[in-house]
Amino acid sequence: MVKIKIVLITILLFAGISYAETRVVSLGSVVTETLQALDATDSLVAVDASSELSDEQSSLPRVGYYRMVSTEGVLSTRPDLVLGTEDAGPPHVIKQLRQAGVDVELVTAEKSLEGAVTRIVDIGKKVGKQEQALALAQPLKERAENPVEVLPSAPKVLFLYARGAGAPMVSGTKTGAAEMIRLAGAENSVAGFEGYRPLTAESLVASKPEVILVTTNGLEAMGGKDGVWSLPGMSHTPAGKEKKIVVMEDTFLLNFGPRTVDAVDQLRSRLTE
Amino acid sequence: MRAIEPRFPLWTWGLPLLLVVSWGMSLSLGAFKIPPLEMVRILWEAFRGQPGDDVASSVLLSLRLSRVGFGALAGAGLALGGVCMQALFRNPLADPGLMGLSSGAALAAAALTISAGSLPEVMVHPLAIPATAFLGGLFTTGLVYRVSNRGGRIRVESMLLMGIAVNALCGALIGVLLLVADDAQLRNITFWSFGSLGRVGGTAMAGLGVALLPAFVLVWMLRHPMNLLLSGEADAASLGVHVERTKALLVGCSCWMVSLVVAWSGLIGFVGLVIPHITRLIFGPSHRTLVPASLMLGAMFLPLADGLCRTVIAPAELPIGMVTALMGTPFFIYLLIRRGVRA
Amino acid sequence: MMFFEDVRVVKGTRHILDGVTLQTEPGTVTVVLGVNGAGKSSLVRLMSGEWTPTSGSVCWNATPIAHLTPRLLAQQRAIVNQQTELSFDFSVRDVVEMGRYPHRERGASLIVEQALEEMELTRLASMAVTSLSGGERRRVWLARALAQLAEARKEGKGLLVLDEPTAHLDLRHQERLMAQVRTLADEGVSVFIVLHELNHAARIADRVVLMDRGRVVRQGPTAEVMTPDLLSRVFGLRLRQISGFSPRWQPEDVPAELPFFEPESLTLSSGAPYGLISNP
Repeated sequence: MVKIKIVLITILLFAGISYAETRVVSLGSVVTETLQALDATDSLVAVDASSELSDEQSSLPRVGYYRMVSTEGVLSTRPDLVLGTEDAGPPHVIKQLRQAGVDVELVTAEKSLEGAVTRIVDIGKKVGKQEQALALAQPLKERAENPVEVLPSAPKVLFLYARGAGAPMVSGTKTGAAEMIRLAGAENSVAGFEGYRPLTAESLVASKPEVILVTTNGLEAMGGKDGVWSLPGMSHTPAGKEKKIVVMEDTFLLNFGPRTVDAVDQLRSRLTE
Repeated sequence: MRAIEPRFPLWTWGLPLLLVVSWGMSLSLGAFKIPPLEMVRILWEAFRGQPGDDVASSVLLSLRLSRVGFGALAGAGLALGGVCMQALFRNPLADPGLMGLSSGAALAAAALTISAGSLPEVMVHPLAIPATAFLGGLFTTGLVYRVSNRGGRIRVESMLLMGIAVNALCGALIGVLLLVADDAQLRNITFWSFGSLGRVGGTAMAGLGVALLPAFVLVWMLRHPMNLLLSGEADAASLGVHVERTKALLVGCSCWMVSLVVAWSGLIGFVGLVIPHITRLIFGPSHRTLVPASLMLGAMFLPLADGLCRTVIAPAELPIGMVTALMGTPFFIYLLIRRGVRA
Repeated sequence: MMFFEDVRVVKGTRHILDGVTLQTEPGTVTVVLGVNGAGKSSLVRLMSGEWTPTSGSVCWNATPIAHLTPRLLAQQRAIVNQQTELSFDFSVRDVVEMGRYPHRERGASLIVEQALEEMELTRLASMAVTSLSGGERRRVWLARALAQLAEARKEGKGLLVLDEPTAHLDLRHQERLMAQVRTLADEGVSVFIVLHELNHAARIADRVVLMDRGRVVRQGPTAEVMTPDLLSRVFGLRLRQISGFSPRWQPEDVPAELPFFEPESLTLSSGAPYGLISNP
């Protein structure tokens, strides 16, 4: 009897261990998106606040904004692997997680097609889905090698972003939005600075945008299309006069993940509408 | 006329006991669940020199322990910083945050962070930021003090208005820095305006301890001069207090303690205002009890507040500055109301 | 003995004190008289060490007070300032205990209790000073000075400096204060008082220092300095003398409110309040 019990317990224990696969925490919506595309979400135990989850997984714990996670918060989900982009942090948390024996893999955060390819391949490697990852990255790779031609009209596009009340931000050079505009064959109407800056009425007029590009969440924060058109200075721009605006879903437009080629094509076609 | 009620005399043994209990509580708080018995086991193993290598051990020993330790030191430093400022300004409203000390320190630290790339290497030494923060705090505090102290008398309205002005100026300058900062610097600067104890490790804790202990001792040695200073500079001088020296030491101590805490853990408000105030309401205004009791209450309060930060929205974390305000103010208001009824 | 020699104090372009030479003497009550801004309180600030003279010297027993440690000086020299600004919740006893600070004594002691007793504060000892009236507060600070000078009194030395001590005090405590000042002087303490009230001065002073615009106009025995002519000149108001000085003031000597001096205009138009009380 005793023997049988021991055997039973041993079996159960082993079953338990083999059942508990690698527990993964994803930091960054592009990482989560890639895991979803690779069908590798079963091992997810927690995600950051910006990740978008399927309905079945919507109850997964959120460890906060991926740039500002807490060591103990992540550790409390007992992860084996933390997958994030290089932006994930803060750095001392990454260090502490590694010290606590967690495998932390940070993939490139580069906002480009090349960056997206590397990212997908690296994530695939880490979760043992190398083949699928290569296949997933293939269209991106091809697009990177054969970029679309510049649109004949080469419209000047202004990307606006807002996260709450207050002046929206405009994207200068070296931003994901600027790269998307370039990939779609259009021109970023702002070129004077790097990164995001608060919008001013005069610079808005001076940049002469022909199309306004916003994300779904950004549009909501600015009070819908009416809010955009009533921004100071907007009525004096070509875009404002013709009310040309393109709205795209946040992560779809800005993630540089598996869906990015689709996003580029969609942006391109809507710019020419 | 109102009699001074016999002050709560238990602090000699009651507070240290409470302090230890509160540290135990703070250690047990966090997103990572560690049952009390488990906690005792881990601590015991570590004490015997054989720390366990499981995750719970590493969370408790390398994360929480240093956090509670740092929190205790920072809380004590902020509370005593408040005590010094209040003795210096002879006013219980003087708070390192309200008087511009903290924002001056934060501004200086932020400015150094921004310009780190274009400075010689000596100046980006890890200790350069605390040192710069100290100078920043010293400058703003000195400015507020100079303006509000005329002929040995503190003008309360000048003090408060100068504090507001200096805070506004520092806020504006930090805003300017935010505009020119790159992404990584931006995150560093926003960190200062939120405050967190999570960034520190054992080394920072030891460093802060080494830096703060002499200041604690110095403040304790100043307890009698501080009492006398409360009745005015002329009075204190006539009773044999080195007024100028005492004032310089008070400015130095409060700037030293508060700036170092700001440099390592960002802006954590209300501790310097609320803890001494609460201590006075319980133990009376004499610095003989105010200094040790504020030190201990501060060392109790901040780790507990940080424990709440770790648990409330776990596994994400709240900024500690927010929690100190949320915890400190209602208690403060309650005590004020109760006191008003009694008087 | 506090000794001022040719003391000048200049703040900015203002000459606050302009060549003052004076001294306090053991067993003597010295009263300083003068209009507002004559430099009376500046003398107190120099004696406390809060100010240092621009030129000249302020010495305590032949040592410049700048060379003494504040503590050493405070063991023998106590000052009760005109205003007290303590706004924290200390008890009366706490404040009186502060007087023992220069003697490195902390907490309650017999000396503190005696000082409380002398100023009739024993009953108020555990009250919050912030809840006391102005006069009561003044007595607390006087008690603190007594506690501070306890040793000096025993040795028959020391200096007590009072800036407007009778302000805020009721009649009974004014009388009591002056009796105490007399007792202290008789014990050998030097007492230096800044006063506005001429009649108090006339009754309490052994010596009077009359000041005007930062200078000493005259100093010497009370009867020699407090002449109607001199006083009228300094105060810019016609004054007349009503009664003579008693050589040494005793509480029973003179009825409480008998004026020595009063403005002529006042007696001519409405002398009644003074006149009524002046009749023994």
